[in-house]
Amino acid sequence: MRAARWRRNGFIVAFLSPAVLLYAFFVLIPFLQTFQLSFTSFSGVSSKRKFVGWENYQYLFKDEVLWTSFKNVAILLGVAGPIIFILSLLLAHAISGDSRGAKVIRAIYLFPQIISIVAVAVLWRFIYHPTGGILKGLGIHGPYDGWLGTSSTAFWCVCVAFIWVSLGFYTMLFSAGIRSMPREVLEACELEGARGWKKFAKVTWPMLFSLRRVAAVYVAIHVMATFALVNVMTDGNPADSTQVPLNYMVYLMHRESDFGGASALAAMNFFVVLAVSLVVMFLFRRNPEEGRAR
Amino acid sequence: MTQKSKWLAIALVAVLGIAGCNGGGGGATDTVTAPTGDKLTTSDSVEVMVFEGGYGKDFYEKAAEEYKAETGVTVNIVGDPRIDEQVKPRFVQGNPPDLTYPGWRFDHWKAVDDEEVMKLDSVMGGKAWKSEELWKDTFEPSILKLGYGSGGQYVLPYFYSVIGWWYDPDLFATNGWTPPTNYTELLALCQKIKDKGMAPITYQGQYPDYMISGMLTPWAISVGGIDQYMKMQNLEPGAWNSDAVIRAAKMIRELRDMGYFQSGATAMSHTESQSEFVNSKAAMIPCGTWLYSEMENTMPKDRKMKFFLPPVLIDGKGDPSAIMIKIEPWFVPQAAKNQEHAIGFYKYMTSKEKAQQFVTEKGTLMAVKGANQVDLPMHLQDAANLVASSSAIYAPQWRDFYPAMYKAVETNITKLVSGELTPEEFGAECEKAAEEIRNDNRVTKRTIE
Repeated sequence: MRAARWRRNGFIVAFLSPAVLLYAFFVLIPFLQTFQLSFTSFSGVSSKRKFVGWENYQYLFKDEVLWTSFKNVAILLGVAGPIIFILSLLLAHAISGDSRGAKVIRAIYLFPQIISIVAVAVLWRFIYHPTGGILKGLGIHGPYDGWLGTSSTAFWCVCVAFIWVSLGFYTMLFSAGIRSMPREVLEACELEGARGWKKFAKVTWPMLFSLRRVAAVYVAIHVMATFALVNVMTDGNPADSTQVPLNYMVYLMHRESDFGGASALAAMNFFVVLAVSLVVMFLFRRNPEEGRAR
Repeated sequence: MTQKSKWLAIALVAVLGIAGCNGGGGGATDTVTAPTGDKLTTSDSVEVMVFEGGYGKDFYEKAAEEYKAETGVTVNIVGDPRIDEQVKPRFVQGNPPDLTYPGWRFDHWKAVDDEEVMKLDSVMGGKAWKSEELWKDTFEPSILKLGYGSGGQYVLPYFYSVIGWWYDPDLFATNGWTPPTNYTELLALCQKIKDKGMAPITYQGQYPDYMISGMLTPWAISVGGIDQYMKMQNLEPGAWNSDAVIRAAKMIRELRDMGYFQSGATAMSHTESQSEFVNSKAAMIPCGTWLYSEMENTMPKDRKMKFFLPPVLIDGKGDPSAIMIKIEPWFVPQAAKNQEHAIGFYKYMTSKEKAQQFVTEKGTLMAVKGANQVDLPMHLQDAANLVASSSAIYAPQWRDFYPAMYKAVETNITKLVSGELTPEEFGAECEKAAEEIRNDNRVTKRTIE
């Protein structure tokens, strides 16, 4: 009996331990160390570090650039997020049919997703380029300092690129949801004469509830993790108008050798992501359709 | 029973955690007593980690082979364009290389603060490579002193860059233009170029550093003199809100208001704006002497470029021959295992013969006396002559000493050039940033002389 239990437990431990160890070593420990470092004056160029309490956080709270960067992710979340959500949902619905157009779009909609994010950023730099850009070629003249050189336009330009690159993933998510819906429900709906918008609003939308929740949490995390796109497109310029927390964190680390401050920012970012995710999960906590069915 | 395996996993994590935490701390290494670079007796190898930029690492590798032939000591060169990412963890572990040039992304002055860098003052008083001359006397003094800070010679220069403005001599000759020698001539020339339908000046707007080095600084020095610049570098109260800064800011605004800057330049990266210049879409650009090698592979064939000093005020207080240079920092870590050979190898690399070879092979200027007296390529000739005849060579040391101040000025100069700040507001904002740094007890203050 005892031997059998040991065998079973040994089996579980053997299967669990590689994943647990890797996770602990590469995720948990660095994660905890980040919190630890956020309370020190670590420069990243020596092993010397001094405990400084909340000092790094106090300086960050006074830092205008930090607030600009959080304001920017709030805009991404509040404006680009819903746009991505709605566009991808509509796109997924539109390409769920078997028309030729739907097939073509199905073949290409993931392209932005499979290109490296750095290449995407470079591509959008070309689009916005003040002298040789595609927009300029189309006769759309931007502001005097260029689309990405003007504080009032640069961040919106980054938003557009962000929406473009994100759309594929969410379209795929919603497409998968639509495709996994029971055929009989959709057929019954069509037999009863509901098509197009009516079908979308009465059947597709309510049945996608759990995916909507997943997508919303994903959007929140995705927005808060924005780094490479901004780093390559603008590096936070002009005058920090396109700054985001993670890009600012990297700046603090490398340019100011302030690993302590950068760790504090990472810790703050973690709690913001956590809070945003909890809010999103709270908003989507109950499926309204379930109540109606009862 | 599942509880048991859970505890086992937790225990493993805890053990690993403790091991991981300990890994970062220790690592104190014995250092050689008073190394001089002359006692080349041991056979331990030397590890050198270098930034592999536009000039590559082949020169150092070849020097390492020659050094081995001379001394029998193996020198391992490790080079990478992002070498700082390998150097930093080595310092944190307490196991740094023996000699390093980690590039601009490594904060060497912070490392000096953390006592990670060897003080070289006594070593500099020793003999140079196979010479009776003192090692310190083989460097250009004005350039060597840029590695001096926190009361010691911690950093040594190797090659250096000169900052100025560039033009295409063929384009200028065809149009009958001559490079301006002062600001008044600059305004007149810009108008002529603009009338031709070409953008007179472009700049690397995404990296405002170029505007600070190529316009704001030389013009502030022209208005207030080099002493005023030292006050700015030392963040003295009122220095950034002074007439010199505001007048320099006004000159930048004037060029912008007259339409002499290329439209869209604020949005351009360094390579984008430099492409505009080498493809003759803009006539002039501020940049360092690395410009030619940076653009060599992408520019039209037979494209020439020549250097001139930023055009300053005719009646300015500052020395019109003042010229900005930037050095590339090399240093020996305090915890290096083989400081003796690290210094020996660097002495070899800075011998006049090797330095001249570097100038010839790589097309850049060297901090070693007499090294630049070789046949220089066209793009370097004027810069070398101007440095040789200048009575005021200076470097933007505050960029390394006070990175947060530098960032603030970068942000404000972008706002200035796009009209979000007036020149007066620019001065006030910079002064505000300087005050914040003055009051920030986390920042080590250094006096630049």
